[in-house]
Amino acid sequence: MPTSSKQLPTLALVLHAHLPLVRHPELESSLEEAWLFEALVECYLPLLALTTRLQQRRSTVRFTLVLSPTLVSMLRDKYLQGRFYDYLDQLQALCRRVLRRQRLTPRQRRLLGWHLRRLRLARRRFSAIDGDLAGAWSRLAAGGRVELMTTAITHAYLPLCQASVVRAQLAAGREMHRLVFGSLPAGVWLPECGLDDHVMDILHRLGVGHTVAESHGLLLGVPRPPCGVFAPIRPFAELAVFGRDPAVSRQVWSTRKGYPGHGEYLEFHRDLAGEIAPDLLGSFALPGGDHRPTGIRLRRITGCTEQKRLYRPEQARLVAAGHARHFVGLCRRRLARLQSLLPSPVIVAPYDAELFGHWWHEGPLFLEQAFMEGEHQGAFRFDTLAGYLERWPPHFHSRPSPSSWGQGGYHHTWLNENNDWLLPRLRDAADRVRRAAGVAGIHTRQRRLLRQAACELALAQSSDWAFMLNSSSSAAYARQRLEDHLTAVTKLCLQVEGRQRRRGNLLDQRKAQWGFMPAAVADLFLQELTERTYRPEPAAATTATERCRENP
Amino acid sequence: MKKKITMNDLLQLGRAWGLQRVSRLRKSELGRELAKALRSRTVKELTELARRLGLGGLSKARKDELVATLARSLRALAGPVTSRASKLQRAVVKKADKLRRQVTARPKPRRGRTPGKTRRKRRGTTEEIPAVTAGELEVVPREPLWLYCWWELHPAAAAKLAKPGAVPLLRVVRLEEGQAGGHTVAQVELPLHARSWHLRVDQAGARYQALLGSKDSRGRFHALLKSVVVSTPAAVPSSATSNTVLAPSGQAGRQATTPGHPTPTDSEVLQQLSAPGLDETGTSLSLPTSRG
Repeated sequence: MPTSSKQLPTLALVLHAHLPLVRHPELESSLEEAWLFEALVECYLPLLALTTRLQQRRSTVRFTLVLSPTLVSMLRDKYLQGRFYDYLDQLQALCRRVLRRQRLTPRQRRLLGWHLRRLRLARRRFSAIDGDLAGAWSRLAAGGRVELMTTAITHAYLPLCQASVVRAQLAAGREMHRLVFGSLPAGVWLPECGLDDHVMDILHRLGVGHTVAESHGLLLGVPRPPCGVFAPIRPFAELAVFGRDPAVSRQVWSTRKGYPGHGEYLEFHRDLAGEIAPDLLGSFALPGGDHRPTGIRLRRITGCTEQKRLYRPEQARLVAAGHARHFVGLCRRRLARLQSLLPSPVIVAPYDAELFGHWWHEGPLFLEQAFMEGEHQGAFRFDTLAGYLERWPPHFHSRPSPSSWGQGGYHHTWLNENNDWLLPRLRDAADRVRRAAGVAGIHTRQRRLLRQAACELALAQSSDWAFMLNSSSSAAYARQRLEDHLTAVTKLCLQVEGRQRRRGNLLDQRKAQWGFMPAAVADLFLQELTERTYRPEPAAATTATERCRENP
Repeated sequence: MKKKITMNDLLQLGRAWGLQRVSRLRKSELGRELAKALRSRTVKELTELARRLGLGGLSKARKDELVATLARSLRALAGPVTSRASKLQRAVVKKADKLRRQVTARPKPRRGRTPGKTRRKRRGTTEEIPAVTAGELEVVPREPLWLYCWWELHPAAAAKLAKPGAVPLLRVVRLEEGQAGGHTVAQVELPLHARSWHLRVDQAGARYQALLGSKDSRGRFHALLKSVVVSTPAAVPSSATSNTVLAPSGQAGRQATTPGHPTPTDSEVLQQLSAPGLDETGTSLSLPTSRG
């Protein structure tokens, strides 16, 4: 029965792009810096190209993209942009070296040639936008193709933070978005979909329009929402909370039943570095005979076996197209059933953006095919969260229940025996910064010290460290970063309070490496942290804002 | 003649007497802590201390005399409170005492009620109101049936927990609406070095409070610290269904685009579609095992 496009049911795809802030100019090459570079080659640049193609085709498809402030900061960082070109050089040199010196079968040679073309394409795309990925997304957002959302300034897991920290994290994240993209975002992504009552209240007070919660956050809401997760709820008149649809999400997320586990897809865990002679590794070799992952993979998943066969890009492309058709069919049938029960159903499908391309190499292909297929069938529309609310503003009142999309659905991933030591230390560090900000008669240098302390505190609060400590992947790096930032908070605060003499150029060193927040954002962070008792100098703040627009 | 007692002497003594975190205390603070602990020492130990401090004429003194003289001597050693930390400590103690007075202040009797009744009611409460100066006890709900508690104890409070015969105890009580006190739902005997604990509770969607204290030889619990009250998330859907529709200001008039009220049957179907893990009784949600 659907006729006009307004009456079509909605599929709202939400891609959440986030990486912790990592920059190590002091190291010749850093394993962790490569997280960004791998994501750029495999995910961010293909997604940008896909969206640009949608715009060129005048497609009606729209989706929501969350760019975390730490990721935006890294994307705009000239130093990291330079290092990305070095990374591409190293990879291309490695491929050429292997082609020249390793004995390979013709199919292996063809696969390496395919990787080389992929790397060249990434370089061309990156150069075409002058390295400014954030600017490119901003232009696409202005064209209405994509809705940009932000999140907490360093992606802190909010339900475990004190109210003042939640306010500081969210307010600073939104301010950073405003400085970079020109306007405050209507929606805010809650890190790890983590919410509880005080997070809801703070979102409302900050004037946030909408956010996304895990499905049981809505289903256990009080009072019970009659539309399940297929319509947002409104805990307050101005704030809408969307719920994730578990069935559609599982189709992509699940490693066993989901699409990414198909045997034709590229095997993520078989790196080229493990298949070639050690003397060919060059800069990818590590002391002790170990190696860094190269991101070049030649094998396909094949099945539950250690004997992995060679990857076949064309077959993988066909499988991805088949999966896209299945996905669109599933959504169409589900939405058709929902439309017989509700006039305005919406399926919200949030995913980590890095899934599409990094963890699941064929993800961007799948997305593009799904967009084209969905548009062609015309049974539903791909829309943004803001677009849906624009068409359907009123919704049932309900207060979501505390929840997250982590293991078990609550806070266990970020608070368990592996990482619980973190919580008291983070609260102590926040208290320390609050005390330092309360020192009377602060002069300019003390303000600079405080801003840097705010950066260090925010970085320590990132949810990524607790996640890594829990999963034991990169746990040593997480521990080292935490100790580093917490020590810096102590030293900087002691200098503010005049209890430690100025030693060397600690402030300049830390600011050069970790001073990712512009002065205006750091001031706002401090104000919210101290419940508005800290007052930045208005003149200094304005100047800093202007300076940030030019060169954050 | 009085001997000059060094920090090292005091540290040795503090450790020998089982005081907590002696190495973190200043000389003055350590002197005061030792003075407080005198009563629990034997006469032999006190006489030995008097000898080391160079206090003569106490070899045949009674314990009361020994304690009084040694306490004077140790407090004199501590000197007046002048350091920044001590000033801060004094300010904290003063503020905390004020707060405590406010908390424990007897409420003004309401008209028509005799003061005697108020007193009887106060006598009836079982939990001793802990001193707010003892430290901090924090608690966060981790899951519907799990709480995480951590605490920071001031040295004097830590010493109380470490007293011979005392058993450090962490207790969680569930608070019911309209009822004084609460039911103890979890209790754990703590090792002295413990600073945090994960505790399982008995009900989701309930209000809890944690208490940290010690159990004496008669099995009585003495609370030292009390947390704020926290609520754990519910594990079953609410019995009430929402029928209020909200819209942002300026768009409230767009009634043509309301989501519509699904019938109770339709609503049930929507709930089932939303949560495929909902069991037959509709009361238990199967939560995601992970996001990936």
